[in-house]
Amino acid sequence: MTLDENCVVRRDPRTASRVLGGEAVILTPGESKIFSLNPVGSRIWELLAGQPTVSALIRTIHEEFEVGADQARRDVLEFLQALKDRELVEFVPAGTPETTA
Amino acid sequence: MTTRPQGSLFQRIKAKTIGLNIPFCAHLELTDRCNLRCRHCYVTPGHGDGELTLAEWKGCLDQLAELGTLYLVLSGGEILVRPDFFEIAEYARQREFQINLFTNATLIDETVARRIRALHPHRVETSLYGASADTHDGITGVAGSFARLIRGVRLLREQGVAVQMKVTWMAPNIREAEAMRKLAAELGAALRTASMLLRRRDGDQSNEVLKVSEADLRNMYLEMFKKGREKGAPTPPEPQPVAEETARRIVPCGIGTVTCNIDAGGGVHPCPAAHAIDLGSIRDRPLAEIWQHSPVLQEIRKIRLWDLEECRGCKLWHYCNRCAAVALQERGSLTAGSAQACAAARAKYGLFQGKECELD
Repeated sequence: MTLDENCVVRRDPRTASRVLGGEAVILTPGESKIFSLNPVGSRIWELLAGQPTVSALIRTIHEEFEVGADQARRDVLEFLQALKDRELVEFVPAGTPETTA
Repeated sequence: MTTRPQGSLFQRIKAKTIGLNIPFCAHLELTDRCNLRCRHCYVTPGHGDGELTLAEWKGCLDQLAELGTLYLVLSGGEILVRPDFFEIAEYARQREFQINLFTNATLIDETVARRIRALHPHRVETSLYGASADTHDGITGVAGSFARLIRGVRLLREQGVAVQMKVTWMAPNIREAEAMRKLAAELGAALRTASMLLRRRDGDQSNEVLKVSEADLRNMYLEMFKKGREKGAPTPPEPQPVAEETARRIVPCGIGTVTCNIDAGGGVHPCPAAHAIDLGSIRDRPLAEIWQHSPVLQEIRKIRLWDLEECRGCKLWHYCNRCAAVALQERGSLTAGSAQACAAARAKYGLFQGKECELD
């Protein structure tokens, strides 16, 4: 599924991750690639535990990091796409049973 | 998103967890029951008495997740003899641990292989004790275990699960080294080897007769050296002892810092091989309290290479896989030398230098 602001974003269930001292560390299975996120990325990763919609995520980052709404939107969308390209997140239509369980 | 080389990022994260006093990895022995009776195994086979329950393991996983532990080894005994194994493993994945499964693979059928794939483990690690049923089953004590192992590994590979087969060099299998490498390659599994044997935890020393001789180990490595040279592998410079300034900083092994071991009954130990050191039980105290405030661990964590008087001037340090727990078994001290480690390092010297070791 492509990125749509109404869809829900969640961590890919194949990943393993921890936030260590404010730094999100993510591992993929099998070949076990390891990724480390900067403070804003780490905060987004934390928020993904709640399976937010893209628009809710943009709103939270806009409020918490005091950046303009347009800037927050651009940065979050770009970041989520980077996570998706590395198979670290999934985009799911809002309201589907698997996102409300 | 950091894109630095994977190895360097991995090492930085590992160092960060140690600095935060978090076990980087937790090695959980879900059971001491096993369907095999391997002659060399350090685990004393049990009957399940006093094992942590499913609820207790879930509580343990919650504590480890809170601490920040990322890697788990789910081990035994044989993990698949626990009827609730998949409930524990699935909960571990829900808590977002990276999991490695240690299993003898003999209980894996199509259904089990599919369920393992669904866990998305980093890999499954199993043991290979010979290239033939005679040798392998002679070690495990169970006829048919070799055939069931091979079947289990094939089923896992068909599911796309990464498998590592671990070989412990022993007198009965050292001459099958090349055949075991070929077998693992044919199965699509990685191969990892080790030469040190731990005594059984109940003090039984009957596995001493299985120890491989230094001469056999050296000959095997020299053979590998010849093959490496044929492929153009360069000979590294003659090794040198570690400088004092460096030796005063080097942590000689991960005991008490990297891997936290929790046994089937909830006992906590500084590594899977050091069960002689009992740090307390998670049934009595929170894991964080044990790991972060144990006076015993605080002493162990101070050990540096320079404290190993017999090792600090040795030029073979870079070829040495000295295990503090083996030294404890052999000599009664975590800082003593280890005859097994010395023999293996001298033999490995042959692998890299293509000649027998001459020590000053």
